[in-house]
Amino acid sequence: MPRMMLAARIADLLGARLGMDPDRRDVLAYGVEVLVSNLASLGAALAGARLLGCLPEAAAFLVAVGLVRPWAGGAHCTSAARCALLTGVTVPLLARLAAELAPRAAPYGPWPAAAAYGAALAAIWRLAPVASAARPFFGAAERLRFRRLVRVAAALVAAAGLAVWYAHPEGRGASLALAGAAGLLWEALVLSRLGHRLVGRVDRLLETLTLRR
Amino acid sequence: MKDVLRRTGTWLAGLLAGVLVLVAQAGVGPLCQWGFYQPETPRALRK
Repeated sequence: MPRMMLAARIADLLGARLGMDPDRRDVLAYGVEVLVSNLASLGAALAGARLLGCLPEAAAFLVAVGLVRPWAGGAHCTSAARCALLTGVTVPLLARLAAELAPRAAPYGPWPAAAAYGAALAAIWRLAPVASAARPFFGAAERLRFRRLVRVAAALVAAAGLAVWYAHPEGRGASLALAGAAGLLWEALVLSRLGHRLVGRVDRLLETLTLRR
Repeated sequence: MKDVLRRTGTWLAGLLAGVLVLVAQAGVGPLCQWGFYQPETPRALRK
């Protein structure tokens, strides 16, 4: 996968100034890519959530995903721009959905959120971790470490989500708990083969649309 | 004056490069970034 043009340019500039070899310049470019791609995705998700009026639910969704995904892995786009676009659409939409469903789920108590967390935990427990070609496992011990970390993180997110529900069941607690559950369910989906196919198709579609412009 | 500017530029470049190396090392620790883009892990950081 080629480096982002901006990242390569910054790394070349700094590398030339400091007399670095190509391998070290590549580390700098990777650092720029990590910074830019994360900030772009976060910015797109929060901007979309602001537009849809579901900023707290989107924050709960992002916290849930942010605690689990770094250890779980899953499907990816092939560019930071397409990633930001996908994140900027899916996170606000699912957060809005959680906010809309919360009052409808209220008569059933904590059970809808508990069922969603249970399903997500079962799927993550079974499927995670999933590495990619861009970041493979560095040995069996690392794979085992990620498996343990992702299970602990997912269990903590579920416990925190249900605690939030119990703290404020009539108000925002229900929608925040459902948003956290939606985050875990989304993560479980992108760990599966279906999720990989889905993200791959969206990535190719967005790539085609960008090239046509 | 030119020499001071050149040295300041090199010093700032070194500082920025240091920050980027720290970000890169932190970035390679987890299995993936939380978003839907995973940059290729640099050869120098593949353990």
